[in-house]
Amino acid sequence: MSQNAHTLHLFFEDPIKLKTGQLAYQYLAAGNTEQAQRWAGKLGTEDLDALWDPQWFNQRVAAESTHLLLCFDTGTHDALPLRALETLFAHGLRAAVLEVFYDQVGETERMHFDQGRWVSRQDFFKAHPEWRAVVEPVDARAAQQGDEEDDPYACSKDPAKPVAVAKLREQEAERRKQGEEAAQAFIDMARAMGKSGKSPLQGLIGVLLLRAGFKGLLQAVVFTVVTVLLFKGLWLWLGLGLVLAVVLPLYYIVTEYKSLHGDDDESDDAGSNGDAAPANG
Amino acid sequence: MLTQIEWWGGLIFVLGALVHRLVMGALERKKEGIDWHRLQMHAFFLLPAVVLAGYFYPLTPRWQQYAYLGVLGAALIVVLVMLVQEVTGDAGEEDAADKAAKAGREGEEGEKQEEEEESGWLVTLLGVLVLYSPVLAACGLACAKAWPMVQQLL
Repeated sequence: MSQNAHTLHLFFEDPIKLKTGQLAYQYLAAGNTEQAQRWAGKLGTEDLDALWDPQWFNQRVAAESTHLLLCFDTGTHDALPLRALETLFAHGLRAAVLEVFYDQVGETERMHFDQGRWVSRQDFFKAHPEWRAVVEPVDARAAQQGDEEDDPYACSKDPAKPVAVAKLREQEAERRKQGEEAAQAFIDMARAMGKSGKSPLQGLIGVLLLRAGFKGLLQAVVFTVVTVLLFKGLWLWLGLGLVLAVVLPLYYIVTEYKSLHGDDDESDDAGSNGDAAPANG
Repeated sequence: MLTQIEWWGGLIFVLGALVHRLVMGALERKKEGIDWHRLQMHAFFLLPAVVLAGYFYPLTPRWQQYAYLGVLGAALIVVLVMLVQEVTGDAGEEDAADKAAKAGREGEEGEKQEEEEESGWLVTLLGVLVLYSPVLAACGLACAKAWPMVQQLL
């Protein structure tokens, strides 16, 4: 089964916070909730769910002299550990680097956090140059040589400008909610189509064509309202608006249909070529 | 009708807006710094639009006449500069008129090089004139309105 492998480098403000965090996470990883609760309380938070998601598995906690290393796996659809980061930043965490290996697609992504904000890799190492050797142990040399292509840490996902972790968590939650709603809407539509005996694909094409027609109609209405309000010649603009209300939806529907049909043709061609190849061979 | 603009003025506005959309859509966006060519193209369409709107109003106070002449002067300068750039091909980026002219030229094969160049230049000029006719019409009308004002002020 595919999973996402997370590696979290956690840099605390002082060694005491680092030790407290280490104990809290080691007890959490070991499943000792009582002791974990005690050390989480010393760290400043009572809520263990804010530090640890019960869905995480294959967990491993390792303490280095400079930072805490937390490794765990999640399902492919599970969220990033932003809630834990937000809580830790409120209780003594200074900076963090999150590496996620997406097993399903074989890609790695890195995110850098500093002072409670998601920052770019460049900004992170500008603020903490001493941690580069820790976070990027093999490649520091390759990067210094300016060999960008061979740099395995060049997979950093950088924000255009720094974003607070709390805000990033809200954005991620909103994005997931929208995705789930869209998926649910599609499932509902497919079910409705199944009941009426039509293929969901035809239903989707119908919705796309309707949307294209509506777009044209909306443009014609806006054109008519604006021109009638701005210029003299009421009947001219009403007539033109009427013509556009017929022509524009038709134009958009035909264009949309051609693009959809064109895709079908291409896939059909590819399919027939694929079928023809063994026959010729 | 919220303005004094006649129906035929409205047609010029609508055509101008269409051309503006076409041309701006064909222009490539500059990723860094201020895109002066894009700004110039906006001015090329917006200044004649302002003078065309002013054409339908009496503009009796002296300050309005000065303002109208000022905007018209600016519009004429921008239009002239842009037309020269279009015809000579000095513009920083290839625009819709150039692309249209080049597309027209692609079909002409087998003719002599000199003839091709000459006809290409003519097609470019013709394309520019047709494409920008709403802007040119607006400027022409504004000049017709401004001439008596200039005589009066002199």
